[in-house]
Amino acid sequence: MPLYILIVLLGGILAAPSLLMDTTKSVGEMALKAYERGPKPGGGGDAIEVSILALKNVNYRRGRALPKWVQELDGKRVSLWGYMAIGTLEGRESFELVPESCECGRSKINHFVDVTLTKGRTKYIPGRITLEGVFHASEEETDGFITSLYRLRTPELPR
Amino acid sequence: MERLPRPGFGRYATLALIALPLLTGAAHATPGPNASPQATEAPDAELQKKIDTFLGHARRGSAVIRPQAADRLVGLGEPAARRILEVAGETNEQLALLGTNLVEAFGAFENSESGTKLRQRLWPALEDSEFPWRPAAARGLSLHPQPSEKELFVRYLEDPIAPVRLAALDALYTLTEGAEGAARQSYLQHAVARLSDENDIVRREAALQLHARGHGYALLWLLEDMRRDDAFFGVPFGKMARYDAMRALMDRGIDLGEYNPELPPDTNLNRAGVAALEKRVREAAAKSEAQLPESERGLLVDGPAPIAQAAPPIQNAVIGLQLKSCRRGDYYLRWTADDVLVVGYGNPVRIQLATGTTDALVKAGKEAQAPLEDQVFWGRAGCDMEGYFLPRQDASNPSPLNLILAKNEEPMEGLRPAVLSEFGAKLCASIPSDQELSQSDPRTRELAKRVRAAFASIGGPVVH
Repeated sequence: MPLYILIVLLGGILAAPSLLMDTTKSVGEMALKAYERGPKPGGGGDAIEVSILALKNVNYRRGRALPKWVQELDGKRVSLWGYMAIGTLEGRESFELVPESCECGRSKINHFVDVTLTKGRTKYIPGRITLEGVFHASEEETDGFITSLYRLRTPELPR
Repeated sequence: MERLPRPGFGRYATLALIALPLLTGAAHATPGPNASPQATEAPDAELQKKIDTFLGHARRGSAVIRPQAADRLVGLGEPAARRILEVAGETNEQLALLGTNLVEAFGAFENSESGTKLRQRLWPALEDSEFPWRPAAARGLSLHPQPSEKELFVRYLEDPIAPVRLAALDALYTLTEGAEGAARQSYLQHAVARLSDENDIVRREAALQLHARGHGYALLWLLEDMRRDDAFFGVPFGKMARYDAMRALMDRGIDLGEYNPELPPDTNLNRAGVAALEKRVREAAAKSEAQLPESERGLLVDGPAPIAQAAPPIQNAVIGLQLKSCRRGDYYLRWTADDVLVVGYGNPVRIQLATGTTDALVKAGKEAQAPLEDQVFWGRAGCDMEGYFLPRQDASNPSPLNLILAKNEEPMEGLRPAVLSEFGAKLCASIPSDQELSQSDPRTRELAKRVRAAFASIGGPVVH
């Protein structure tokens, strides 16, 4: 039995780098390289304008580091457009911002931004909205499930 | 002497790591000589509890948790499949209660008795036009398609729901992996037909599959998407297509140079970028064509048909209708100020209507708004949606009023306000008859009938 444990542990240690290191090209990083070449007019203040489509196109895999450009947005003030997910309840503190109003029951983890309203409450707006706030990007986990990847804290919904 | 490639040491180590849970699981499952009866039952009870917890999450968790929970169940193998089989009931109605993610997972279980039984439930579900999770059933079936199912998948290439067509195409691709002769020809014929699908996601998948089968010119379909800039009342479908095409090309290691999907395609940067890329794609395709059987050469050299071509954005639409039905498919209709009915997105169909048609609909749309007061949403989140885009009563606000009804797979009585049913009927009545429309274009075939059916499946029939 001790030999078995030793073999398994040795295998694990040697395998770890090959499993954790992914040398394939990251689509997200390349997308941003292109994205960064474009204009970033800002959302009226000093916010960085971020495309929700660029975030959606990140090649996300659980446990793998997010592309550098996304990591660099963490904690920054950003401006994002999108739609309130259909079914957003009124009077709540948070909602999902999605690239198309009807994701229709299929919500991939990198396809939405979890928005928290620090002052206001939700009121469903069916059209496209632009929000400005502090962005965070990291896996948030509850009971072993990833519940969000992108988060935005903003005072309230646009009027 | 030619040396066979040797797997790297890391691979053996990876295998050892993979073996870890299996071996430890086996060790746990094998009771020692002194094990008590409770000790042998404990792992089963624990596993059962875990399965039921994941089942609960997969059925009733948030939209983001449900697929993850379904994946975990698949990872647990036969015991999970057996439990799902117990709760799946006997009928499609009972099956639907499990939700889209679990239904899709039915096709993911491998090499297990119950897993096979689960998969067998998917064909009757797919064949039932009232089953709400037909795309999920199709995707599940496409994961491990069987050679005996080939003709069935071919039938679903013409399904009214795009994700079903996509899954059928994926299944056929898998089934013809490495095939030659008639089997390859038959697949190619189907894939080439899907290059003119009304749905751009299906077109892109067909193009990528054909590219993988040696047809380099198929990438011209993706380059066309990189030239798109269409939108539907602010939803940037063209930009979404640009991103999707860019990602697909990058995934295949194709250098896109300076192309930027965030910028419009008519910027100098993007125009030059796509032109340079097209030159490289054509050069590479010309070379790769030489490797193809003679009968296949020149098949795609002319590039996309009009349905797949980029087109100028529609500028003067004043009324819009978006129907997304989990049973009847999706419809995008616009009525322009100069009485043109625009069907679809991308390069849509334009149908000239009688003079004054749009004015009459604008008047009806404004009248419909008053009884609604300020309400803009009815129902609950789900896979069925009606979206209306109307000019506002208050002419000083130029942005269209967007009204949305939505529901999940269950019927919802009284979802649509009566005024919107009347307005919906007027929109349907403005669609020209089949005699007046082209029956060769999939988007206009029996259009009025199909739009009425989509209305009926979401908010109920529209009054005529």
